[in-house]
Amino acid sequence: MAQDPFSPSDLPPELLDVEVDTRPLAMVLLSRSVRPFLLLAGAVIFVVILRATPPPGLGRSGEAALAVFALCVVYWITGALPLVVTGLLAIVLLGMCGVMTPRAAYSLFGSEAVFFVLAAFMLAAAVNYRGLGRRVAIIVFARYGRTPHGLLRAIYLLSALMSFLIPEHAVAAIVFPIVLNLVNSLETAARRSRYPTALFLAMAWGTNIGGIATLLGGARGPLALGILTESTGATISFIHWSLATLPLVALLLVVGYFVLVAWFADEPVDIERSIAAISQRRAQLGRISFEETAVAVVLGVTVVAWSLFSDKLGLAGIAILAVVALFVFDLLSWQEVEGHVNWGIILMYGGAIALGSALERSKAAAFMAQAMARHTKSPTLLLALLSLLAELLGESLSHSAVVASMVPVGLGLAGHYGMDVRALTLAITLPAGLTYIMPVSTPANALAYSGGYLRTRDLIVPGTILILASWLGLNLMMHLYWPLIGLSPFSSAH
Amino acid sequence: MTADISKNPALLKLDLALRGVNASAPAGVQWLEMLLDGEIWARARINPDSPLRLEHGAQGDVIHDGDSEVVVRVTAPPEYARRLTQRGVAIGKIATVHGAYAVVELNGGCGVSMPGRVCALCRGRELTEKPGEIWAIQDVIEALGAIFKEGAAEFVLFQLGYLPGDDAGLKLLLPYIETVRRHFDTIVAVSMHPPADPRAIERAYASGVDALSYNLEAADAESLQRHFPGRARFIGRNRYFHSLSHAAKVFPGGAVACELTVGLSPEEKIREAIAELAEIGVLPILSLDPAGAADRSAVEFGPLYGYLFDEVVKAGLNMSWARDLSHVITPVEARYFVVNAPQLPVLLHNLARNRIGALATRSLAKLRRRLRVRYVRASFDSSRL
Repeated sequence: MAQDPFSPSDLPPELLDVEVDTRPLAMVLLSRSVRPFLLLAGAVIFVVILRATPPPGLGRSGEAALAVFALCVVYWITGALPLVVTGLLAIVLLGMCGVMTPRAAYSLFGSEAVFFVLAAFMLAAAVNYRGLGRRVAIIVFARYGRTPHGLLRAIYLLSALMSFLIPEHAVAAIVFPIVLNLVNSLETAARRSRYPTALFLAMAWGTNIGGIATLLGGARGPLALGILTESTGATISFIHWSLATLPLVALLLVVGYFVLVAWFADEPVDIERSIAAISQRRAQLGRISFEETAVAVVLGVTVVAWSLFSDKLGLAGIAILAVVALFVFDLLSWQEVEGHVNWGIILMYGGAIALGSALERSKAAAFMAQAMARHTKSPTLLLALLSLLAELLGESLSHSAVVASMVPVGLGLAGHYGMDVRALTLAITLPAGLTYIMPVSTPANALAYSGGYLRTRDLIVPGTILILASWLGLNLMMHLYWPLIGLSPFSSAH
Repeated sequence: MTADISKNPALLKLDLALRGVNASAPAGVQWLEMLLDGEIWARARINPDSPLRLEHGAQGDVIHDGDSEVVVRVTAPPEYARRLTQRGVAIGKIATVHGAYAVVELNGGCGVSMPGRVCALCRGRELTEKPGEIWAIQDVIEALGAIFKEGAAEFVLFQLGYLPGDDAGLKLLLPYIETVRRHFDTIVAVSMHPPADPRAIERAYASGVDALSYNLEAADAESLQRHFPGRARFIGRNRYFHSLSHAAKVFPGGAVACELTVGLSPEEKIREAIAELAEIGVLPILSLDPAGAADRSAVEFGPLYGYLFDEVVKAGLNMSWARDLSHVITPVEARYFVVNAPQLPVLLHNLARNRIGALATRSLAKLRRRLRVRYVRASFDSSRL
């Protein structure tokens, strides 16, 4: 067939945003009408727990905390209310039900984790708006993407590495338009092959796997850290977090690449037009600007400072100083910050951290842990089950909802079994971020699906392989590697 | 099937398409739109050599064919056609009425049966030629407003010729769709080339397009190559079927149609294409190229149209979306070529035609869109947390 005159066009982003649910209409109708019932179910559970006689070992405030927690878990998991609104509801209810004073509840908004996330988003905004991320991506793709597998590797590894430094959603937002352009530039035959699927998946999987490497990759890490610190006083340093995760990340990147190639990039495709397109964009970049260099320097210094001085200065302190530097050098405007930062996250995190703290202080977490421990005597098995549950829930729920729902319970279990609360926090938080199949699970997956080439049914087998690899890899690391770096799950050193 | 045009309005419609009508018409008028028995819209070119004579008698407008005569209702020259928009563009140039549709041709439109010409892409040689006229949205809204006010049409059909881009011009069309949706409570249909990017189909549905057609016209690959070398070269028959199949999953049942033109391809190939389309959930509709079928009579085509009806019934497709089109024979009209045709499709079709049925159709279409369309942004926002 001759050259296609329907050459790629630059559609406004809102037009890339639509998907049509083609399930039978009855099923669509059912899924859309279930919300009122879910809202009612949450409210009924809340009232029933609140009005019941407290069981032995649980005080009135613990029972109220449990009622609020149950309500929030129902709404977070089912999405009956936006996550942010549920987080706000938690704060209000904690005060109204007498779990803690309203003043104490609202003061938990001031958690260091919240400010760390906020500053991390601002840093990502600078990387995005000053064009540094786009430049790096284009240069890497142009340099290493000369063959179909080379391009796949470049997208995969760059997405992973960038997620070490900036939040996953920012990485996806930078890489996705370039991948879309590359796919649109492919010859029609190549576009009809599975290769475009492989490129979008390389972006999504690379971003998700890389996102667990540091505290910067996803906001769930700081959230878990916030709940851990506010509830138990323990913490995990920036470098310690990364030391714990990097071997797992390396292992999963290798497994993920082989799965990608075996399932989606096993046939020869012609990518000459994509190479030409990326070369053209490379040529249009020109020389690196002062702003791009300055943002790179600020980001580099910040990461070094997090690694060396976070114990003294605090993660949030260093992050906010970095943001101040960006404003001092005119590398970021407040308008850009407002456009880039998801303010809902701050509100949701405040609520989730307050709820976690309330469960711990009112002994409700310990009560839940004891109840669960009655069914499982083996802490090893419990850890394996918790990590598997977090992995599976992370596929279909917001990662933050999974962390907010499971970490408080996990901390109670850690206390019950005398386990290291830090290891348990990691055992829940890391798998919650390792998602490979569903579009709603991460921003990278959502964007990859919006490319129009991914279908859930095509991802079930390869995605399941990766889920299992992630779970087995994590459990291996927990038992064999983490004790070597002072994170033994079965020692209550902290 | 009866071969008497006074008893078979679909046969008369076919005959009019084939031979035209001998009628006295004001200067410059080349086509007549008329309503036949059974509420069937027909379109006939003025042809002084046609044996079908149109006369105005005591009963009204009557078509004579030998001894047979049929009362029809020829639509009066519309008032709106003489008016100008506020910006001074003749409304008759912006939109024309075919059957119950106000047809807006953007970029000149494309197609053998309705605009009567194909676009630059179809010809395949002149892809660089300037685009045809693309009307300002304000003018289009004014024109449609005038047409609806006069009661000359019920629905809107946008006809799009070749436009560059992966979405085959949808980006240009969307603002028109959205504005029409804001101003009028009507059914919006679009006829265009199939896009290279299948997501354009979802976007079309989400933006408010109710019915969609990618008109292959030439049923088989050889005829496509012969009549539309550009379409064969740049789009290919496979993309038509791929896009139509995808659209059939996105749009309501029966709302995706594909026009095949009798006279361009061998009859056997048309039958194969009809079966193929019905199988993937696409409603085949048949237009006629008089030049390609000049040596045959309308009756000879009867079995083909009967086959159209049978295949659509067999596939269980809803026939009520494709209706009141004057330039094609729709499946529900093709029932006149079948002996003892099942009455359920006709009943449903008639239900959809009356005032309450039409309102219900529009309301259900809106509800369906509301239920089915989701925005990836919602997932993105949620997953970001």
